[in-house]
Amino acid sequence: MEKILDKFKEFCMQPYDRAVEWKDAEPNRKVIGCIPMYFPEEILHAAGVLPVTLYGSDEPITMGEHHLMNNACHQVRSTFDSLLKGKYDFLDGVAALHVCDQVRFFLEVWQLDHPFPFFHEMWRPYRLDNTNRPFLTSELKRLISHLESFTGTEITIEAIRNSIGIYNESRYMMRKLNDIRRERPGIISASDMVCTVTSSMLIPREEHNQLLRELLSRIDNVLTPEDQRFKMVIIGHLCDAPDEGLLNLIENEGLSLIDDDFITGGRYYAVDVNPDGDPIESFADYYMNMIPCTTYHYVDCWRGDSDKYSPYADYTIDMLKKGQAAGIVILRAMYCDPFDMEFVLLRERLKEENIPFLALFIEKGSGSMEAVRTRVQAFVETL
Amino acid sequence: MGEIEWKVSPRLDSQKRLGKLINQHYNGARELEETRAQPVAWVSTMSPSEILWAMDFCVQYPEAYAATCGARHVAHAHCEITEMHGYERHLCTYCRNSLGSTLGVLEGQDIFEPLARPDFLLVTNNTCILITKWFEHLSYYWKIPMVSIDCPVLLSGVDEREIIDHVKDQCLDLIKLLEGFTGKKFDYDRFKEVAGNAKRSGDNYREMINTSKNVPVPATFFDIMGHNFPNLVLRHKPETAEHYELMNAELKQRIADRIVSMPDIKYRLYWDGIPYWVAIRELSEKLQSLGMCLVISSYFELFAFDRNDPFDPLEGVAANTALSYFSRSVDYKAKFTEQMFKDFKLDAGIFAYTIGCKSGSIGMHYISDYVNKKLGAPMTIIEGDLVDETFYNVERNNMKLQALAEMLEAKNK
Ligand code: SF4
Repeated sequence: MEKILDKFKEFCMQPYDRAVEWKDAEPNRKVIGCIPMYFPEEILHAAGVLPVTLYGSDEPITMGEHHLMNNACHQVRSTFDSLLKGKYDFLDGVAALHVCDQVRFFLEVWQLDHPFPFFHEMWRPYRLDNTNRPFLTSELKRLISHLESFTGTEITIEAIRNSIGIYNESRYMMRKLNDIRRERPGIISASDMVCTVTSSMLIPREEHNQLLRELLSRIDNVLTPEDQRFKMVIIGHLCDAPDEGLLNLIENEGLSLIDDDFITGGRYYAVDVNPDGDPIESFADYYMNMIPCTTYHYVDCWRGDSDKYSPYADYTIDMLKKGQAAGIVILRAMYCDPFDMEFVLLRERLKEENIPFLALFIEKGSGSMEAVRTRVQAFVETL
Repeated sequence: MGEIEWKVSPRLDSQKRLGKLINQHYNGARELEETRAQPVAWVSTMSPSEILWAMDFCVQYPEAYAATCGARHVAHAHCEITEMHGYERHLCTYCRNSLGSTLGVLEGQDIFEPLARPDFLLVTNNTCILITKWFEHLSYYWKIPMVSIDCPVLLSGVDEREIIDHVKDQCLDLIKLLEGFTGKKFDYDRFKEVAGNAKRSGDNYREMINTSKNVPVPATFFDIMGHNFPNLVLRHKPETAEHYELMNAELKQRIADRIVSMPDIKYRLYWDGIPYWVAIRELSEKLQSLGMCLVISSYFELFAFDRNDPFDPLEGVAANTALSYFSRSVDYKAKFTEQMFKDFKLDAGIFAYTIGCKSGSIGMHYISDYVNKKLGAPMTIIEGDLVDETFYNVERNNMKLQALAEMLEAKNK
């Protein structure tokens, strides 16, 4: 199991090496970079393209600042910095959903400054209701026809269903691994869990599935000593992969992270796409039934007659209860408007429920880990 | 320019009429606080308010209130209230002013001329996505219903017709919901009347903006910016179109009488972004001292509402909402700005970066570079905030403006 986890870690350390290798192995292979979150990778896969997710790096941002204003989040600035440093030169295209204002404007500047042969921005409604559904399905169709004209081949319903099957299997195995982590805390570290999920978005999915299958077949034989640490749920850090060192620090200071809602974690594998029926409708369902997210507007909460004011908070509280965790660690990214707004309501709900929580602002590649350690230690003492 | 033949008169007569319109509006809304004779809605700028006016709502704009609070230097105190409630400092200060004043009112604090309490909220995410969150929080604090209209960005490859129809469907949802909320049937004749008034107001507003193409301008950006208010807040009333008619007549008269509102104009400037309401005096004095006259801004596009149609009011309001300037791509904005430079004969541009306004500022580097490369016009990016003076550094920005003036001088040698 360790060997497989090390492999996942390697993929994360050299995030695009495997994609470049895959592309070079045969002529006309195409790789498209997806900006987090929620891009329907299955559709790219069905087009014969390798989707890779573009996460910010922990390198200092030295070039991105001259093109974007500094009020964008680290994920956005760092990704742009990587682009300017030539790290994405191997890509044939870029694709993204508009999850927030930052992504929307950053993408536009990206394509104007550094045009890629394929560039696709997709609108996913914020307001979740049936009036918005037709526009969502039409956006999905627009993506398919754009991809078809880019690759020159038709994307058949069978191909999409096949890709959905491969990605569903991937999500299923990740959910299973997470269930095991919840039941047997300490069996896999939070940083290994993040690497497991993140690496799936960097290499061909079939290969990743094979490795995950092997990992799951061996996990039952792994012995875990009784975990004396406090069980915790960890959430937040919207579009970036959380820093490995930070997760290790938290776990080394007496907290066992048993579940999360990261986009490189639970948020990514929570919901499957229906493999039967009309794939467009299946993807529309997928978006309409996504787990609560700060980048959505939930119509029913805001009619003046509902006690629900943060579906996101309710979701994380359920996660905590399911894992019988003692509290929640919240990772926050600087300048993330959706999360910063949600945080106010989340905090309110957690206080209502008397749930201990620790909120940490952390930016990859910056900030003092010692200050974080002190805060984690102080939090552990309160438990 | 032959300075001697131009007379300087900074004050426009229309300012008095504007003041009266604004006071009437706010006083009327305050009376409603007592009588509750009409329901009060708080609405985001680019929303289809015509629907609410047709249902006899009193419509208030938290963004306009924020601008007033900024200009009166009271917004910082409101923003501080939100910080105590856990809102981050980098979040939009229009939003924080609105939530801070709300929290202040609800907690019984002394708040500067608060808006009449809302019964209903309407928001459209064509300006930014954050604004939906802002209104959700208002809904939470006031415990009242809100409707959000989802307004896709006008991406290349997206069919504009489809977006208008999509917004139209949501407007129909809104009408249905309002019928339930008010217990009244929606009056389509009244809707047509409102749209007719709004169209006349919008047409005259556009004419007002276009007078600034004249060299020299009969009134500067600073003189005109307050006149955005009627076309935003009162465009449903016949007297608003009349206000602009009189305003346009006055501007034309000034051109005929060779009257300008600032002396010694050397350069005509463009402003990008929402005005720094907290620093209007500092900016206008500094620019005047450098002979730089602010002429126009794409900001005015937000108040244009050009597409109202009394014969098909639903189509008109949906088109206004769907095709707003803020929904446009950075590429569109760059080209539009270039065209403005040509039409308004501009020499240079000031880009007003605001940490809280992501949607208004992330693409600024690109737009300023684009126009600079195309036309050779010098540009500067200054830093500040719409309403919170603690973000505004007078010395640093004055140095940038000074440098811009020097660039212009060097260029014109
Ligand atoms: S981290 Fe937040 S601000 Fe950054 S891209 Fe994601 S949602 Fe947008």
